[in-house]
Amino acid sequence: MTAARPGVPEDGSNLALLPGPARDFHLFHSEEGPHLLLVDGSQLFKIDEALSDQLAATAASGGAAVRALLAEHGLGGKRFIGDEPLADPPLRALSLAVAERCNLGCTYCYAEGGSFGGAARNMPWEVAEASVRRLFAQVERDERVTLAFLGGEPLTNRPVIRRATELAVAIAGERGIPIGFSITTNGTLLTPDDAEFFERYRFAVTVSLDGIGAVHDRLRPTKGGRGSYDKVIANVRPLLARQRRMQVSARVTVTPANLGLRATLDHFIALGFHTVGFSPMLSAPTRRGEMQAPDLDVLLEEMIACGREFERRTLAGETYPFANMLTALEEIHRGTHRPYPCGAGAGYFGVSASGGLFACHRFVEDEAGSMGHVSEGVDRERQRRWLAQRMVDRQEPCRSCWARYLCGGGCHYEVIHRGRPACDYIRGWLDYALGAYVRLSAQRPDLLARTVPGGPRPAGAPVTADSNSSVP
Amino acid sequence: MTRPPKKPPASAGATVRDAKAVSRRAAAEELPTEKQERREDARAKALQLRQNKIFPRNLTARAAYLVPGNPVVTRPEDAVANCFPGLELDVRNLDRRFFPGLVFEFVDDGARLAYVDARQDPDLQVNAAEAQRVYKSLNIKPEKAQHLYDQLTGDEEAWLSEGRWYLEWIRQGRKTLSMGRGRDEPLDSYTIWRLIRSLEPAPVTISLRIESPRDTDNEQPARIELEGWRRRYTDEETGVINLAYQPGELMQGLCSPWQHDFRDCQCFYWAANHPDVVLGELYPGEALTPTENGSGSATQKGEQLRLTVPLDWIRADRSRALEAEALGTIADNRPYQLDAFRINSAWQDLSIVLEGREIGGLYVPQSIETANPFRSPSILEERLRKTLAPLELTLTFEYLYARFSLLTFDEAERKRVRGLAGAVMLARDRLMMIAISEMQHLRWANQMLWELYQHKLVPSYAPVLTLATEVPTSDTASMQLAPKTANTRAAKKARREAISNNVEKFIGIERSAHSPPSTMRSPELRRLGTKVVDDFIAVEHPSGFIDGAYARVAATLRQRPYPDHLAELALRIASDGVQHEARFLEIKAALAPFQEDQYLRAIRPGKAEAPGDIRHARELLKTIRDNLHTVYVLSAHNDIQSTGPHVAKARTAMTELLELGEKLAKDGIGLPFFGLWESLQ
Repeated sequence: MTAARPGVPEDGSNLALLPGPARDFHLFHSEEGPHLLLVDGSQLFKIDEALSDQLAATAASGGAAVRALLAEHGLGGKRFIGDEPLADPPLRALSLAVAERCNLGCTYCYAEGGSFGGAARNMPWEVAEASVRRLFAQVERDERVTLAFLGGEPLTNRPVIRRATELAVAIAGERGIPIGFSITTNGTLLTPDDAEFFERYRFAVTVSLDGIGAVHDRLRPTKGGRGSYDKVIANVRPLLARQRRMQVSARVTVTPANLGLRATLDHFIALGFHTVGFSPMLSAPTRRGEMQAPDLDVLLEEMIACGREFERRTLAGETYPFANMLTALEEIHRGTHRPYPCGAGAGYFGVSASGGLFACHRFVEDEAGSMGHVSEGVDRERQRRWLAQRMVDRQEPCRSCWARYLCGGGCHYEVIHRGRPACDYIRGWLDYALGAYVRLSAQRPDLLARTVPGGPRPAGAPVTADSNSSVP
Repeated sequence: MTRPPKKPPASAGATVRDAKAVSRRAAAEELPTEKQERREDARAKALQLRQNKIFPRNLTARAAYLVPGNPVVTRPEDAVANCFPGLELDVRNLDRRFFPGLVFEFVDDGARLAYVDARQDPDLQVNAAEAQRVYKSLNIKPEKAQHLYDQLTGDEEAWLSEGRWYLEWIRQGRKTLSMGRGRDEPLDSYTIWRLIRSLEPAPVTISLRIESPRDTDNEQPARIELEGWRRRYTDEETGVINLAYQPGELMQGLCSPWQHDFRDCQCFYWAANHPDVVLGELYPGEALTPTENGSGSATQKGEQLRLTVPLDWIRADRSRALEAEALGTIADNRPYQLDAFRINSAWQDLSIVLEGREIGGLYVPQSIETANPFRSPSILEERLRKTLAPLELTLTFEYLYARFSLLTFDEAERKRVRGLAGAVMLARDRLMMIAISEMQHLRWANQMLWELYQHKLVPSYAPVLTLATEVPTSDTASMQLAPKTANTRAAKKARREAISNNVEKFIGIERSAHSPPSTMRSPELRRLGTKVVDDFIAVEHPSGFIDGAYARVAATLRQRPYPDHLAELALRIASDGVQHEARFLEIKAALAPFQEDQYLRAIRPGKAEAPGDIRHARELLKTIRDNLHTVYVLSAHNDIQSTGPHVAKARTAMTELLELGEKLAKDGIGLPFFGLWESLQ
């Protein structure tokens, strides 16, 4: 197996003979027996003890020996991830920072209170319009696009949201382009009218909620220091009741102060959120609320506990929309493999109030992620450099990590500003998720089909608001 | 995390294989140790690999999992390929392009050039790397290849495209092979093909000759000589079939559509699997009774004939009239069969055949319904044990003895009587088939007995391997069938009348056989004279003693509490009787043209106490008997696995006995089966 493949350096970039733990595969044992994850292609196999032992023994001998052993068993013959960075990807998603201002003062906010460290302002209509047109500039019929509204708190600039949405719908309708809308809001300014609007245009609404009651209030106070929880819940209830075409999800930013995940998860699921997901706070401009190593250990425990509850409920046939779990299962099932963690700077960009294009919504007004302007489009040169630099196989310590194609390297913003403190957590979480996938697929593959959005759909099953698109 | 590798699970199969391997090694010569070790290593590794179970879980795993090696069905060496034409790959199609740039057809009168195909022939693309590899390996100068290409795309191409060109001779090395063109008897296509097949992939010169002088004009030569080479059909390194062959070309002329092959298969692959000669369909309630004065209307007579006249199953005439009776040879029957076009759709009209008889829509099993079941299991058991099973054994010996009394094929050939060898071969073959069938019946009769015991319907079982004291017969005169040598109308008419007479006698038998026959005879080892054949026919014929008896057995076994499947065995035995009778009729017809002393040996039963070969025969019979006894006992105790070695021993002894019997018969001594067998008790 030493024949060179065209375009691949003799040693093969993702199978190079570097010292370190095995990077081509990940072995784990579960109740269903030993399993093998082939990193390239995220291929998951059930294997037997003999092969498991052999692989473990061979790992120390380096990539070539591992490759040879895999080849003997007909594994690893197909290459999924190449060596070249993504080239000139088409623009397909924009998030508009329609309001660089906010009425809350969350401790960890990447927008530093909403205004990104500058003067508070709204996005003028002209910029919004240009953004919408930019979104449709290079799209063909039937190719899907997404328009998101962020900030700050986007609902402080409601008119632009409404106008931009309606314009986008009009263009999409004309050109036969499916479009999806989303908005992330702190929930304090939601009105019933918003509910009706979001429902009409099938928005994916994400409400930021960090815990129950006081836990939330401590992290997400108003600028005056008062709690926001009750208001948010009161505002959100009507939306929860109303969601049919729209989805209303809760996003919990996890800091050392709100690690009691299970209670939060149960509570918000019970409230009726479509999904509830957790995001560890790894990089804050003020450094407040950032998770440290011991916090991350606790986080992993908590997440696994939530996962086990998910498994239990799922096997019982109940719905338990723990977002992180759903995503993980879907990606494992599909064998999702990616050399990047997300579409930031590739097909997705954040637009600042003045129309600047940035790698994503967190990079708005951040030079490190500057990518052009809506009026001229993406700066291809900068994009090329960005995409070349951000490939996971060119990152340390990613290139020697078995989880690299599932993780992608970590959020660019966090990595650039803080580094990679959470690798162990991510590996721990993925290892658990792989085991859960195996358990679920062995015990109730039918439930897996229902639960996993990307999973096989039984014929005739209705397409739910998961698909999140307003086909005109 | 290292654990000792698990041993592969021991299974019964593995043990037997290992044991066999050990004994084979012991029996064989000493192999070099190294070779042995390497072989064992490879075997162990293969076993290990086979046992590693890898199961893809998610979508990318499933998509990417490579099955090691190509699936067997894609490899030519594993396809059903032969030269006949074969089921998947007709290897002969390779030889059509044995010479680069030309495509031949192997037709009746030789190897005819079908067309010139030089421009696309990869072997003639002189500048291409693949072609140069070929030239190098076959020691061909590229200039020669270029010259050939120029010829076959220049003047020669034009000439060869006009008129009919045939391969005249081939020269390779020092040998020139002539195809015989221009002489009275050119070689036929099969022979030519075989000659071409024997060429080496090496330089070759051929000569093509135009068919008739009239085909030439003044400019066109009558002969063209070309220097080239015999093409390599597959690539030496990769095994890829030469790219000159177009898609579908290698599969030309296969056994398809299957309907044609059904009729025309020359290796009788299909013919061995479909009914050949059958009896016509009987509608339920059809009148079988003759009129009072024995002649009835033509229609009634026609219906009566339906009972006995054998028909060709693939006959074209599907009407119920009897012009389509089966004739003696394939060639004779062919004109009356469904032709190649009709069979494509008419195959659906071919009948299902049960018990040797065509069945249309409605199948009504005849004899069972009218048979009286035995009153109790013990009566059934007694009938089987005392009468029916012993009869099978006795008949086996009678038939085998009769077979020994016939000349062999070679002996008959030496007599130089036309047709004798074939007749004798047929008779021997049929007798063996029937004898084997009786042995099968003996086993089935025993099986019925032991299953009765297993199901606690009778208190005990002991193998029945005893001889009968009497054999049923009938007092009819022999049936006379005219030999089927002529196809003229008169001959056919005569045959029909003969058959009609026989049918009336047959009816008589039928009627009389419903009650137990009063005629029995003693078992006797006799040569296969005409009277003996008649006796054999009488024993076997439908609704006769055996058939009637087993009909009763089957009727009994259909009831509760007998196990379901046993009735089938009885039915099989009964229906086999129809076949046996038909076979004896064939034997009779085959031997009819000859005198007994032409086809019979002068043998007499030997003395059972005699030493030497007869003593040896006795030992063989003892081996057979003892092992069969053990096999039946083991089977009765559901220990089928252990019967294997005993069956093998019995079979070996039977084969030896057959040879011994033949040897003795040549010397005029017939194996005294009965005496020998009785002496074993």
